[in-house]
Amino acid sequence: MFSSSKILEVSNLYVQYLTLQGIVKAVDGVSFSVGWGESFAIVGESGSGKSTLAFSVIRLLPENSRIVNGKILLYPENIDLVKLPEEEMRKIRGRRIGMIFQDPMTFLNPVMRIGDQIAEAIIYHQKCSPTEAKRKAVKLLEKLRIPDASDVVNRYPHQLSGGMKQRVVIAMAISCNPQLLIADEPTTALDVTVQAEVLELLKNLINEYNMSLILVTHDLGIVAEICDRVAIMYAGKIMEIGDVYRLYKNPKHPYTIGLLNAVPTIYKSKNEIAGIKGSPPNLINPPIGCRFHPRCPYVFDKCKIYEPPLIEISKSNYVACWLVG
Amino acid sequence: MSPLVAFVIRRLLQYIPMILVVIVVIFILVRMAPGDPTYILVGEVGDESFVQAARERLGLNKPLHEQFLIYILNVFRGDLGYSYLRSESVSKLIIDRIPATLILVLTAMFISAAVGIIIGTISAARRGILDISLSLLTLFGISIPYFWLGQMILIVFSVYLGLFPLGGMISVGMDYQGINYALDIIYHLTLPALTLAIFNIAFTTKITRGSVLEALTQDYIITARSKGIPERRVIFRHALRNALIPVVTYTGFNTGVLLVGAILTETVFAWPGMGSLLYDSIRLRDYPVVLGIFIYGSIMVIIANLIVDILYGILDPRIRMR
Repeated sequence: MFSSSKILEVSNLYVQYLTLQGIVKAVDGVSFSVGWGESFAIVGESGSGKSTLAFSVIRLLPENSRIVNGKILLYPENIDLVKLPEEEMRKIRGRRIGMIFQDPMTFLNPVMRIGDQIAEAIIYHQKCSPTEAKRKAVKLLEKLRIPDASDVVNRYPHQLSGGMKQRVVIAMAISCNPQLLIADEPTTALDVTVQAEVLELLKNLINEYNMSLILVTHDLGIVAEICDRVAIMYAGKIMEIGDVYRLYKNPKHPYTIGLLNAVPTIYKSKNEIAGIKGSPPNLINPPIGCRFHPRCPYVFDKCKIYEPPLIEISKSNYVACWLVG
Repeated sequence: MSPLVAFVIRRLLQYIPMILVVIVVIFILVRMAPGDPTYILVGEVGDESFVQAARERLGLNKPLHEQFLIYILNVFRGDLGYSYLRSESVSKLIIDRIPATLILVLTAMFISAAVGIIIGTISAARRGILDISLSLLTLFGISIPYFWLGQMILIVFSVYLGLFPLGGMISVGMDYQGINYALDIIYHLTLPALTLAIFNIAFTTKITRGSVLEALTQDYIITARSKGIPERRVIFRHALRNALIPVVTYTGFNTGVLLVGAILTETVFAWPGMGSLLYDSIRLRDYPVVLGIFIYGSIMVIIANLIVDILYGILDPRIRMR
């Protein structure tokens, strides 16, 4: 599925938010890489920094945030997106990196026709005429199995259903054939039946165009369905990275174990489903040592003082825990 | 009947009671003001019998409620009566003055919308020193009264610099034709239109700025940026387009304010419009003309609001005309 050559490498990334309460260390020294054609998931609870991480890659963070340190390298040219001037970054957005958002209701412009919203990226990146771009928009919608595509392009977002809107968002993201797609909780706002359709569609598109995917989600079910590798994030740090199959079957980090236990399945009896005790820490003053230690059932003295490094346990499998290695 | 026509007719019918209320309020207010047109007509020291005769001729000897009834019935027949002092029908007097006022008010409206929207958007998009100085300027613009501003502009540009005429709408005795006639009007129009526009430029700027700032926090702006289109397009095509509705609402509401401003501006610049006619008529207690101007004024405001309602439907596809 994935080759050894990388498309994106994030190394030692720190992102902070300036708030009235203090500096929130939302992403705190995160490193990972994504290969060509690979589907990479970032999983975590809300507030773990996973969306911040995704928005850092395409540099669309809110104004009160800043990337303090680290590199985001885009291959093959080896461009550091952190240092790239805004004008150059603009050429990468949409063309090299596409983004799919969580809520298609609020992420579509309510007063602009669907066709125009899809066409504008095509017009700017592929330098084609508005008519040509609109024709391409119709084709894209057809590709995404939207009925009456030539009619839908002339409609406004409020005239479409949630699932249709999300397909439009996907069409916008892939309109200029980006090599990397970032999807921030793409199915969270949708009905369960529609979720399945959209996922299926996304999976096929990725395979067909050989795109790489960074999927941000809290839903481990989705990850199993379309991803090759997964990073588990907790309190701004990556706790474990691994092949989806290995990680589900043999989780190493106590937090990963906790997360998997919290997923209800048909094979578990009702009292086997266990949440993780406690709640995620405040990221203004995160815990010293391992970030997870106040909630960890296996905690011992070392965890409270020293922070465990992310160590490689086998090829492309990493864990940050003192119990391992 | 197309939905638009039905919508317009329905709205107009809703406005009829409103006009009635306007007439009642204005009738009472005008009559409550001290002064008596008959004395202006016959002079302060005239013979009491002259005064009586004048009162009878004008119908002012009848009780107030009777006068009101007569007036309102005439209005619904389309008859606004005769001026006490100018021996001409009120409608003719007003209709002769409407073009001048419309030119002035529409020019000021257009200038303030265009300039205010552009400055407001730039101010919102580029925060920092530029935004702060623009905000101070708008505060200044909002605080200056028309009559004072008009006189200052007149003194500086016409009296000292001699760049513009002292007043009026055309150069008397020049008898310009065609393009020269239009240029002559623009030459006379510049200062009064500017005077009238300044407050509105400031206010439109303020409203646009706030509205664009609000739009820029919306999720669809992130989507627009994620496409890699130029920031200029994100701001004007995505943010401003969504921010226009409050601006249009304000512009509609503001027609009344502009008409009031036109009274003062026309008076300062001797602009031959409804405003200076109203000013003279109030001074001389020419009741029918005063009432007539208010009725025409309300109708103009109603039409402006009707246009705003129609614009809503165009600006925001989610709004259906009902």
